Amino acid sequence: MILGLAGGAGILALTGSPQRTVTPSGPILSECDGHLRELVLHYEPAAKAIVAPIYRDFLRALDRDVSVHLVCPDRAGFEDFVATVGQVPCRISPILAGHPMTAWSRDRWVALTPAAPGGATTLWSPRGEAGQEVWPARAGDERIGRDIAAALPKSVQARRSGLYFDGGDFLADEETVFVVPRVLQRNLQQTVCTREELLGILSRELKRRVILLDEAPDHHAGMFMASVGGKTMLVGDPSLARELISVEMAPHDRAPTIDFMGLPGGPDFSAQTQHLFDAVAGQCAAAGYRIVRIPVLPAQDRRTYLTYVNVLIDEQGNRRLVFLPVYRGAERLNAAARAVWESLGYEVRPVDCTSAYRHFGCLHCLVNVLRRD
Amino acid sequence: MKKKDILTIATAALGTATLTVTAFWAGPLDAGHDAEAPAPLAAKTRLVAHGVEIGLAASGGRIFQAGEQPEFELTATNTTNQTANVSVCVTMTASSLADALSRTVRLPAVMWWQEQIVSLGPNETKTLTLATRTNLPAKSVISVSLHDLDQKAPTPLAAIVALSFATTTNGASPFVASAR
Repeated sequence: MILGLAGGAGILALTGSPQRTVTPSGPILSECDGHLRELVLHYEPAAKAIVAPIYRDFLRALDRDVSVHLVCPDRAGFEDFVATVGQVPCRISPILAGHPMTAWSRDRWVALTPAAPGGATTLWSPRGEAGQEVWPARAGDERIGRDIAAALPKSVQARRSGLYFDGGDFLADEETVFVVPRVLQRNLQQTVCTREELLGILSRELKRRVILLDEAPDHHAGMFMASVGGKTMLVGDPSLARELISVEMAPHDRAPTIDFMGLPGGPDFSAQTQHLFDAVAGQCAAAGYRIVRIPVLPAQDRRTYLTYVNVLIDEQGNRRLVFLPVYRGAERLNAAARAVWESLGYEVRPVDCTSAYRHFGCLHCLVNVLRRD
Repeated sequence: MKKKDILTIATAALGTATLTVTAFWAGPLDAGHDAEAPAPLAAKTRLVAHGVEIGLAASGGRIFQAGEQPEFELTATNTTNQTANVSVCVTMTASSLADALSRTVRLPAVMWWQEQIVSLGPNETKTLTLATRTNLPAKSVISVSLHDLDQKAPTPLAAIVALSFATTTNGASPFVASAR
């Protein structure tokens, strides 16, 4: 046995324990800089009623030079997409996962840019998916990063983190990545011992200044904030929405706090919720950002939002475009939000997201960005 | 030394060498280093407060179903060589299973909670049984979390989800209560 132990140790010393080599990657992809080149959407026929209207609007508004990878459970799913959404100008190519999945592409991975020009984009996936032990579709979601890398081996590599997170928990521009408080809650004393340890890991992986929000609405970052470039942050403001829906409801002689747009429990204009949105604005200002407020309408369930920051931004030379959610029945809110984006110099391309907001997500949640120029 | 003895020694040495290499070959997984397929968390999730490790498990390793009133075993281990007192809040919440299409699980509803003070001698371990006397809803994901009451930070930062499982109406496809 002693000989065996010595022999084994000798083998290890000579060959070196094969550390799991970590392929280099660049910083996290910015949300607001660069031209959209490759996107990833999911299509699950069971969620057709939610996503099809949005995809129809969005894909028809995209430029022709954008490539869209559509992850589907199987070939029948892709054919159903083609039949349902119809012709679109951009290029659509299927990735057949071969397993159940949800429609929410954004949360499955975070794109890390190539370490060197011409290199591969890294899809940084979380350690696991919430609810995966219960829902097969969530268990399937856990595999999406590897599915995409297997389908696009020359340009994409997959890497799984030791941390728990959703892709939507991060909001990045070219300088900073903001992280919602939930990431700390999910990882403290589970995968990391201290807040500082988590920050260190995120800084090392994302290669940007990391700001962990201490206070924020309990939701994905893209539901309440958007970085719009030029060190400017757009932050939702329920009080702006309150004024608008009061006008909206007046002709119907109804109190504005009752049953607007089917929001569960009605709109949430509580001081506590207002404080959370204001706290985000304060933390971004402390980080050196100019703050612009935009109407947002959260519901009492704290999950359902009518939000106008859950967007896709495209930079084309001097032009800046925003694919902006709009909602049927909320025309005054839609118009006010559009005015804010236009005041920031954006060309607005509206996308009807009425079918999605009751499921706690919107356009940005359904679309993940693989590559920008 | 006989040839047979040499063969026996060589075989044992080879086997031990193989085991040694195998045991230390795999790189470590920690939160800062990525791996293609990370292993499940090696240890059960425990709340650590004032040198006391606190864990939770289903009483008797039971499988809970809708309509039942679950009981849990709270185990506290004092890892120090001094007496220790901890105040912990145990909270049980329920979320709907029906949100498979939604982006996030709906906010869980608090079904039961209990504050528990545990006093331990040096290196002592105690196990307490907690009876919820609360009927579990059907088709729900049940989570049980631990929170150190002495933490000055807001509750969410100190709460640890120690146990989670799902319920069905008739016992079909029950899920074993698993410590996270």
